[in-house]
Amino acid sequence: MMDISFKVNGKELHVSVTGNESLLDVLRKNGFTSVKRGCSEGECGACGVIVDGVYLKSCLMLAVQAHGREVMTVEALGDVQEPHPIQVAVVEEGAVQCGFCTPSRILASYSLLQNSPNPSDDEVKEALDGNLCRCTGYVKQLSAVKKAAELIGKEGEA
Amino acid sequence: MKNVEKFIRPTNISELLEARAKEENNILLAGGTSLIFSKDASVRTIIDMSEVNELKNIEFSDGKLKLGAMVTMTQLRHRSDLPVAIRNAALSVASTPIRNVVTVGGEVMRGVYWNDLPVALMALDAVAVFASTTGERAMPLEEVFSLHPTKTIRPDEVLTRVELTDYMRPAAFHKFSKTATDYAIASIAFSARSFEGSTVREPKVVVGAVTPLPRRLNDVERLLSEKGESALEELETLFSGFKTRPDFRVSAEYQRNLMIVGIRRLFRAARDGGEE
Repeated sequence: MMDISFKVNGKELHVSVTGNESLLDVLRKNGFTSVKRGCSEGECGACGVIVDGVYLKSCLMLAVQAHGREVMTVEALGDVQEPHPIQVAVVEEGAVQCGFCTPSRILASYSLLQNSPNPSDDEVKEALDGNLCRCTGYVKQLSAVKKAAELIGKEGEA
Repeated sequence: MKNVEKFIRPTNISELLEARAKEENNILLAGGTSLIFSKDASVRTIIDMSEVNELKNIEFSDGKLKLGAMVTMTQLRHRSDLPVAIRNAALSVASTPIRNVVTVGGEVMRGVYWNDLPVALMALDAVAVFASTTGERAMPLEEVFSLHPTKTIRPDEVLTRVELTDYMRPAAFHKFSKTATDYAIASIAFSARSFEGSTVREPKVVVGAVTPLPRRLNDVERLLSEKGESALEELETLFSGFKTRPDFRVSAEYQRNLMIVGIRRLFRAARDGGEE
């Protein structure tokens, strides 16, 4: 076992991990259940998180790699009382159904909009290409990201 | 990996090479996306390369393009000054969150059939640079893949960069797969020194996924050198006995036909600027 520490949504987490444990496992064991376990092999994208500003799949990252890093899950963005504009856009555009892929997809959208505040359709499609959805479909997801870009832009103007 | 006792994160190349030479039963971690599946119980130390910033550079120097081992597929994909074949190969790797972490070093050294980048790099005569505490040695990628890359690298070495010399020559790459993010059924890259009318000088044809490791197709190159574009209509005879890697998704006949169609398309794409 190895003792590691890293931040999750700004709070320090100290854990002991084995060399083959994934970040996904450690996050879920420690209550961050917005990070979903889908395929565990990098296909579905339900386990997406942001580590030191990089959007990635936590099932493909060894937990020990997170040592000293800052991990962000969707909980850091907003909640029901104070939703982030991306979360507002997802609801308003109807880009959510069962909700399983949604937390990770919101982080993918966040990562895109951090780097490209007014993305083209092609940029949005590429940014979401690692997030499989099996009920909502992709058209509303695309319009939600475009809407979120608008909302964030308006917030910036205010 | 369950018996790993030590995780170290060197911050420069000399620390990295020291660790590689000294640490017991060590394994290098570049992007890490395949290491997570390792069942190797003999590994005692993970050497994480993520803080070695010298390996994250894309450089144009000494007339060469130098791609650091820790350059990610996302970096390659967004650099408009790189050859189209390399950018397209980088974009072919899995999906955005995976491209954000998969590295040049991992793509070259992993040595699995679905690695897309080495196919494009090999068609552009890329050279791997291995470093150890005793110095550097360069090895053409074609030689790296003459055996499995984990056998061509010495235990105390690290792949630090890949270098390309005539990197802006006409070239094209395409991954054929069932979905954009699926593993390749066939990856094909084509490059040439130049095109003159229907003739072609020094064509290079490399395939991946239809073979366990990227492979140059010398017979095809010879035929194209001799006959130019008209050779594209004679490829069937060259592939009739071609032994492909078994793939549960498609038949051998389909794989052979895909190579023929792919080479025709990529010959023309390379001639016309790299995009299909």
